[in-house]
Amino acid sequence: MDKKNYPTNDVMERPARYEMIMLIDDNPIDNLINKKMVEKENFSKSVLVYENAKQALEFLKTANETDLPDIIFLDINMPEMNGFEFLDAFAGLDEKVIRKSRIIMLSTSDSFKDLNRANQNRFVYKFLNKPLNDQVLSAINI
Amino acid sequence: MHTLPLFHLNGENTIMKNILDDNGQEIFLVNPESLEIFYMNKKAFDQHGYPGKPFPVSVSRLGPDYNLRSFKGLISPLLNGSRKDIMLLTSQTSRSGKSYPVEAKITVATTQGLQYLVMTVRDISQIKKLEKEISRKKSELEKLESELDRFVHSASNDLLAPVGTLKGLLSLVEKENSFQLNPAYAEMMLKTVIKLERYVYDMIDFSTNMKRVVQGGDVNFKSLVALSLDNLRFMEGFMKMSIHVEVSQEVDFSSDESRLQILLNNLLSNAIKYQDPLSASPFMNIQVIADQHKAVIRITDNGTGISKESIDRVFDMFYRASALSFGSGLGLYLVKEVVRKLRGSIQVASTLGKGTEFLLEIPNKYKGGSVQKRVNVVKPDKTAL
Repeated sequence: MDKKNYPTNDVMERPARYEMIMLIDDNPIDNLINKKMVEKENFSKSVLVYENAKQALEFLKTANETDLPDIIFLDINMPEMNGFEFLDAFAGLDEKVIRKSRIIMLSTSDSFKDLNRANQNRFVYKFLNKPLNDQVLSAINI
Repeated sequence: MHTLPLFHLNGENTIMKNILDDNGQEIFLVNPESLEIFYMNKKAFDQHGYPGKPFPVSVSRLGPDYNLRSFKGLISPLLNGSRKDIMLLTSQTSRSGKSYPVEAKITVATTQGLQYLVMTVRDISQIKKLEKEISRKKSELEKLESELDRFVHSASNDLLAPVGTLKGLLSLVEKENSFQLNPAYAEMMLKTVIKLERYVYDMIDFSTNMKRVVQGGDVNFKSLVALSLDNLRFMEGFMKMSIHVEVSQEVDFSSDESRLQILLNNLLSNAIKYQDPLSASPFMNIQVIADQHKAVIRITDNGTGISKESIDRVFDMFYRASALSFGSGLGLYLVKEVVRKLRGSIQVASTLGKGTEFLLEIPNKYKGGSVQKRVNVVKPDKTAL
């Protein structure tokens, strides 16, 4: 399990917007970029990083409500279990998880098929292009 | 019962005779009551006539669809005037027993008060062959179109992904605003660009295989394998592996060299990529046995293997089985397609955690033909460079 918990930079004056967010992407470099962006924007107090969707699901199944992320940034293109397969499994999780953790899907493709499929899913709050940047993060209002 | 006179063509009707005999179709005149043929043109006679006792002959002799009951039913609209002609798609059997597909047109005519049927029959074997060919080309085209669709969809993804990563890394560098580029970032950028480059090469190989005609030329398996390994020597993990090569080729072998290269490159690089990182002695064994009929290529490794769930899907386009998999997912699909183009076969056997073996058979285009014995047996040697 790849769980990294970093406190925010205490130079920042405004409070972090969210308690905790989760990143799920098989590419460790993309995860690093997103995590750094989140930290620089003081978007959340802590960041959980997973390179494997199945492992992320395991965490969500067993975590306490207070440990659940407010937002999950979910990549689509991953081996073993891709983003859409994760969403299918997510639907079977406990009510408390579904209520608390809102999902934002990240992808490189402009593919309409992916966009439509994501937007039709009731758990997906938004569909964004990766990697995250400051403008896109400031536009998130869950 | 009226009888029709036998049709005679004498000297004055030479022009008519030429027209009747040389138009490339079989022409029959049939008595509509007895359903007997009383005239055949030359072509019809060549196929169905019996010299010695040519006429009259029952129309049922022509083929299974011409049995008297069916035929009578078929021509009744002609006889009662409700139709001017009847088209029949069926098959005929010549007197030598050969069956061939035909298109027959039947009309009714009257001469000197007597009614008779005129049947003009065209051999459509050629047309049917062309139809089959068109249908085959059409499915091939449809397959290509759908592959192209998936290809474009994934190409945009696979090429844009590393580009997005690079953008992200560069923005971080910009934001961090320091005088020196963090070397960790530089390493990540390099890794990402190499990935991008590999995707582009994969796609070039892929489209090359899709369109280029299969070539035939002399193939030397020993140098082919050596070239492949040489290309991969800078690959991460190559140095750790012990690579064992056995090539036995006693005859001239003809195949498409560049396609064989694509096969080897993909399979060998996979073995290197998916070696067991915890193993003390990762190895790969490459065995080629080429004879006048075919080359049997066996690539074995003791790497991480493929799970039972994944093994049926490894050859699928863009399928990546393992969490370790950082490729485009095109590699084994490409291998499958190349093998298909070469009209060979491929099998894979694997045990998760233990290793994998790929077994390929590639036909020798010099099959059966030239057997110039060129003793080229190479003793097993370790080519870990």
